[in-house]
Amino acid sequence: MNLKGTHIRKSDMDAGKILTTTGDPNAHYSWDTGIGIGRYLNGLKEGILWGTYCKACQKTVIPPRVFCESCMSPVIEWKRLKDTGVVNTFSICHVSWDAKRVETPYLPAVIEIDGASKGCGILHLLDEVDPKEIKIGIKVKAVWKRVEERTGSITDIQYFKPYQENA
Amino acid sequence: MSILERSVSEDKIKQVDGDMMVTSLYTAGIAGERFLRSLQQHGAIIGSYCPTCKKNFLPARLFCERCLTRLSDTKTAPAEGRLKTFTKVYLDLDGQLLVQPRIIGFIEFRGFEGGLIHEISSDDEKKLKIGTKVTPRFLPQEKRKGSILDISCFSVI
Repeated sequence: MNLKGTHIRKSDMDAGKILTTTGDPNAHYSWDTGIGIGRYLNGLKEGILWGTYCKACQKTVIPPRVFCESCMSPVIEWKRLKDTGVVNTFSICHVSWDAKRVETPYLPAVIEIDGASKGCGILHLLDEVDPKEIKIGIKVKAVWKRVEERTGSITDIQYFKPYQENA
Repeated sequence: MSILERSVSEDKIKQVDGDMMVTSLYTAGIAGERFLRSLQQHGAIIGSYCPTCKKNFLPARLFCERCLTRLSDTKTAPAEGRLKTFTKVYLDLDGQLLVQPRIIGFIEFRGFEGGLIHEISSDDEKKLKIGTKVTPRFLPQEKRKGSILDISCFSVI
């Protein structure tokens, strides 16, 4: 390939042949959860999944919102949902978030939480399952961290695993 | 749901904190490197000359911003510049109060388009005004690194 431009080698930089300047800015952030997500995260710490219900639309959503997304009504009810659901969609990821190949694939999935309206769910990981056996529609259950390890984060649920309803 | 329902309890989660990993490594480019090396090695401020437009640009650059001609000729700026504008700075980059306020100015050089932003050193800052003549004060050669900070400041003539 005949690429135009000026090549720069790392060795030239290290040897000081090319002037460089580096930056490491303070990119600390603090993101306000708002009322809905605040209660959602506090619920996770207690091992509870909170959703909100709009009576007018008869729709339950998770994560919770402080107003209905369909009719914009602020009149919503808090609803405690189960920590079970069904797989809405999933992926088998052979690369990590920073594009490194991994031996054991990650299994991200959208899980429709039981008690929430059809198509409404959260993105999480699946585990304790053979990737070949994952299918859309299989029932899954949350595997929580121990109470003392929870921080009020979505990672308070370690992953979802398949389960039999009557098991 | 109303604002009155907002949690005021200290033990409840109300925000999520984090750090973004943002690091950068920049090169000065071909003309920028030429400009910085000139500061380091010769203690000279150089610009680029466009033979088509017959104009000098400062700092040195690789292309004429008027006619886009590739520039290879350089020209050394005079040792004396003039303040185009200046300001007094009381806070540092993180918003913390500076112990000693600093004066930052934009310096133009006769015959050159553009200029340099740098710290201005003055015995009597009240006498500073637009048009005041200033000259660069270079660090000793052995302390220069090929940076705009090889000029410690511009002092009033």
